[in-house]
Amino acid sequence: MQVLLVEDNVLLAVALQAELEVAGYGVIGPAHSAAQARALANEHDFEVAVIDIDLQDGRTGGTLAKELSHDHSCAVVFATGQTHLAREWCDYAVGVLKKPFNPKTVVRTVEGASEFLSGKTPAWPYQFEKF
Amino acid sequence: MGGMQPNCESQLEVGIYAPFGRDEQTLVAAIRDNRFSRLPDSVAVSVAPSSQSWHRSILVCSQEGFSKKFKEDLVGFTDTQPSWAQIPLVLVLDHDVSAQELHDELRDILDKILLTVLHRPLRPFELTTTIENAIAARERQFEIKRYIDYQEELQNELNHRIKNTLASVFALYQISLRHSSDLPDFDKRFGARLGALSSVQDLLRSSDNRHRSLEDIANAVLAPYNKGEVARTILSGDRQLVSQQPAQTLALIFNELATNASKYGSLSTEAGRVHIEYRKPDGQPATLTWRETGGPGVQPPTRKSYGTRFIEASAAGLGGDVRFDYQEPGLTCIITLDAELLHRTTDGGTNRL
Repeated sequence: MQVLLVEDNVLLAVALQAELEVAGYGVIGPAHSAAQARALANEHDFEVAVIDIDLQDGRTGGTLAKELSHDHSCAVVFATGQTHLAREWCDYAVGVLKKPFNPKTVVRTVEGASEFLSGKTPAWPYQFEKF
Repeated sequence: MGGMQPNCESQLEVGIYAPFGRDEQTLVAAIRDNRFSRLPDSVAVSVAPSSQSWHRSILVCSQEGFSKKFKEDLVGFTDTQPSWAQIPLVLVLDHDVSAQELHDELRDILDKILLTVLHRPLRPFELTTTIENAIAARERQFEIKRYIDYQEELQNELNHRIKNTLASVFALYQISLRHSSDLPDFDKRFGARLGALSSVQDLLRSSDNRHRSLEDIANAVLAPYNKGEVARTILSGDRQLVSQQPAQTLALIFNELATNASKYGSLSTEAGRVHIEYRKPDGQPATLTWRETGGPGVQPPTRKSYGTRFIEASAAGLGGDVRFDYQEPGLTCIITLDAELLHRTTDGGTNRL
């Protein structure tokens, strides 16, 4: 399964990518800006998108979530410390993984998002807020 | 904090409520009379404006203007007044009105207004100095308001930074755990990376300005290699200011390169040197070059290390790429990057993460 990763903190992006790959996921990205994410999204298939709110091209994570959830049949999860901003886009995402979190948590979150897509009720990690 | 900015949000107004005879005109003329003082240009004078504008007003009210309606409006207004504000009210009363009576009437809102009582007959000097003081007090309130807003912004920013820093520490921890052979190895790797992260944290915290120079970042991370009499790392090139997130990335890049150099490269010998050069030519990508000389010679790595992958990912994150050149006299690592991304704060608000 493919995951689009959109995170502008390089260090975190590297860690999240490593965790997802070790868990057997294919990672598209990491993209550091909404513009990069759009370009990648048009070229690749993915089931889940993990998106930070503040990106290199500004506070663009919310709009990106809206576009991706509309144009691609994917589940969006936010990964951000700006929980209140993520909630403003709750119509376009499954929930928010609240920073700071152990990078390992992203694996359980992505599993959850994919289960959610197939109609199941996942057990989310405790740092995850379901919308 | 400077004086009041004359914008629509904060422009002050003197509101006059004096319905008897020619009182309004007399008061306006007395306030405008600049024999004793000059009303700042940014302050407007209006006759009987609605209470909608009171959030930026000084009220001047005569005995006759101090009606039941005015008092109700005042009570209503003070109910919604923010805690930092206290509306100045200058009452012009007949000489026979008792202070006790007035006090009783205004008892419930006395702590929400700045009250000055003048008695007829009015002396122009008394009036103008009173208005001046009321304006100064009102301006001061708005300064406090701006200060409170600024403090709140700083607090949000700090909170946000702490979250992101902890997220980075989690990332370092997990990365180091994954690439360590045993506990002592983990200790060394995680310790060095946390040290690099901490060194820029200090720099940024001790600075009012939210940017640091690339030179400061390199010096902070490489300090352990320059403890002797001679500096082993030599910096040159253009000056570049760096905002928080890229500062963290650069610090970790320098740490990975230095760790590698201290194991296999020029920092493993006393005679070895590292030349770090940053160039930002007009209209072209910036380049950061790490060039090792005087070391034990070059050993191309047999497999791609975490350090190499991290630097590649970082360069991509900074809008460029990286080339490692394993040729005598030592490793040369050339990172191209987008100088704009180093400097830009993308964190929203003042500088949120």
